[in-house]
Amino acid sequence: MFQGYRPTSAIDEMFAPDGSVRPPYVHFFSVVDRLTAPQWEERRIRCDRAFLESGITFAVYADAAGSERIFPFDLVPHIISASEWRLIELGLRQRVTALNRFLFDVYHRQEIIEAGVVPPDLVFGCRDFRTAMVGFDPPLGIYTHVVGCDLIRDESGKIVVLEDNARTPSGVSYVLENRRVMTRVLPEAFGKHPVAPITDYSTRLLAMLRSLSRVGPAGANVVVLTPGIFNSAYYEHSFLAQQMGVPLVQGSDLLVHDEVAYMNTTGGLERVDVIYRRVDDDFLDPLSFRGDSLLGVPGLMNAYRGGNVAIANAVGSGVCDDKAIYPYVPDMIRFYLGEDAVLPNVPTFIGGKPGDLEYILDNLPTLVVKPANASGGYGLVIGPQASRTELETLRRKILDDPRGFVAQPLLDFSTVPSYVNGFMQPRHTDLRPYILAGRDIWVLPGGLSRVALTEGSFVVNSSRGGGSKDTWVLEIDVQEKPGGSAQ
Amino acid sequence: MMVNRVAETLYWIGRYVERAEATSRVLDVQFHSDVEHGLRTSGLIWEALLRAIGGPPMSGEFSERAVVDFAILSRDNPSSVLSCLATARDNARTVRERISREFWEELNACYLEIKEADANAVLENLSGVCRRIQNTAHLVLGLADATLLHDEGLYWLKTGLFLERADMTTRFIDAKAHLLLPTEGLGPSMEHFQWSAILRSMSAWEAYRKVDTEGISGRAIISFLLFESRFPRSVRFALEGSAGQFELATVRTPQVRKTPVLRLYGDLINKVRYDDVTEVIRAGVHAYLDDFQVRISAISGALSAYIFQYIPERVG
Repeated sequence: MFQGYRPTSAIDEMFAPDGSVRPPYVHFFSVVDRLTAPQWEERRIRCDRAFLESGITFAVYADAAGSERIFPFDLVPHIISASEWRLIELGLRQRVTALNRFLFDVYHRQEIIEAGVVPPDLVFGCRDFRTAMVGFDPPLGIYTHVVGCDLIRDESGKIVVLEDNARTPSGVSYVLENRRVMTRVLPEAFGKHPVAPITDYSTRLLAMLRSLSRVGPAGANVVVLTPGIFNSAYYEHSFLAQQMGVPLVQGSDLLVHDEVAYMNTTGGLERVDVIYRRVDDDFLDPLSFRGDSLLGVPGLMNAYRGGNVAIANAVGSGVCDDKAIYPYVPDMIRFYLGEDAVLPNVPTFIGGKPGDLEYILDNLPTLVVKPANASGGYGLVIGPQASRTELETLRRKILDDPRGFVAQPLLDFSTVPSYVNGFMQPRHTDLRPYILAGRDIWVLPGGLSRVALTEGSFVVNSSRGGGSKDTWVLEIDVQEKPGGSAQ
Repeated sequence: MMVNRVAETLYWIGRYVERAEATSRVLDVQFHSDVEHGLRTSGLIWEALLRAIGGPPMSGEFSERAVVDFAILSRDNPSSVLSCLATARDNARTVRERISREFWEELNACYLEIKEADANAVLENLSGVCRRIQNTAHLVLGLADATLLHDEGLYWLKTGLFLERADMTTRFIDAKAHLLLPTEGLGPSMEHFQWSAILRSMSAWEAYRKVDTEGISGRAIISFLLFESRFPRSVRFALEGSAGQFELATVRTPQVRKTPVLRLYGDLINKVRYDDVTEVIRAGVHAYLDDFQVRISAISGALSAYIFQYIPERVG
């Protein structure tokens, strides 16, 4: 299968420049290289069928016949060695700890602003800064409980953080389903690999959510709050509710009376203790945020501030999800923890900062420009691949709202072989690990590997031609002795 | 206790799965009993059957092809088999946390198969396709029993399923029986053929034989399909089943919300327990069954008003 495979100028995760197979992929290569193209094609078809029957699809709205598509999945996994994972995990724990310390600080004494480390206008000018949260102590003092950090390997081989998703990161259902399908379709590839299992994610998530309850974890009534079936991540909301065995509710199923949240059930009103919300702050409570929203629960903020219901992630967590705040994360780590960041950032220029703004405007054709406050790759412009008109439009948008944009150099991040048009071809792949923060921090071994399936593309988002891969974290490295791994 | 909306969704999954099963069963028998007798089903019978299924009136010729298009594959007819499967499956998608993976995947796979099916292929293997749909309904119900927690969710599903069964059985008896009664002039062989087809379309042939003392007679068959307490597709069995599941589902529901529903169930169950076929004939089969239809939809309406769409007045 890998005959004639030619890596690009970027680092390839599977093959070294001399063409040899890198250690984490040795077993996988030996199994898969023996398969013929028709055999591989047959596995691929079984794989698509499995996703279709599981209902992991998105609707094609323009199509009246009810067409549904699956998200493209590539059968070559993204494999990470045990030693490298230890470093990633350490870095993620450190980062999420600092992010939560930062959020607590921002809504309390604001020491980091006083100290001049983070500029006040960036924090208070952030669209997700919630004055309703100032002085409020959320359960356990934690704000962002479920975090997804996007990582890439840069040209020098270092793993770097591209962005933090601290509001309602999605994608973990694909991680779990990708693995489930993979073990069924390509079982022999796992063979001798001690791949770290990921099935306990929902158990960990539920335990973390229960730990936020004011009544103690045992009797806690946890629900998942979804905007509803038309939300693009609806599958994930229902999947997580199903995996945790808790009710999936919409705003209209809940009501608040005397600062207590209830669910409207066949047995009458039932008290709700913890809400894992997958709706944005804006749509949580029409009395506090957007009055025109029909999705929210009137009075929910009062119940929350009254300490009668926990909400994860906390309202106002978006401050540390802002791409203009992201450049300050290494400073936060130093400020709160007195440590250097284990996982470095990508150099980032902030439209809202005078010196940076000029640099961005002068170098548009070489930069990647992102809206500071969007997710899912929306509004992303890759300078080297944009037309002159696109760049001109972008320049005007930036001048209109400099605070709304950040820019980063285009990184030639690493590739993983992917089966496209009948051949294995190198495709840029990133990794979004998921981190749960409650009484302690837990990192799901692996995460969502997203791949830009279009040749030469650097955009991995599913809304823009991206697919996904299973991610394997090896529990023992091939060159390590079995008894010698750190436990 | 369960969120009202979720209870309602499970109830409708039960109804739509049962409706898909009943429709494909009846169409299957109608197509194939005609073949055996070298007949073409008259437009009158198709019209009555399609009316029983409950969709919009079909326009044009009643060819086998047209009936397949309309009653099995149509997306515009909300009561076609495909529409029933699509609705059941869309509903299931919104309550994935209440159903098992096995349940969902079976329902989803059947929907995907029928959705992709082309009319010519269906016509070529009509019996196979109808059987596939019926088997899915049975499998889904079996999976519900074998893989779901036996609690409120399952009880709502079965409340809907049994109520739909009572509804569909009365509709089909009505559609065919009022064409056959009175039976003078049909000739004994035709009469036998038509009544046997009714039994077969209720999967009732063997069961009827076990209790039958009069042979194939219209009166005895109507009595069996309406009142036989031991036959799972009789109206009586289905209503008692639905009411029983409702009571299990509402163990913790306040009395004020369930009494109005129970009263309607009780009234109708009294009729199927204590009426006999003489009363049916006296009232006229059509008028008698029409009254049933009205009462069944009153039960469904009360479920909606007092349970599913209930707005609590104050926090108690």
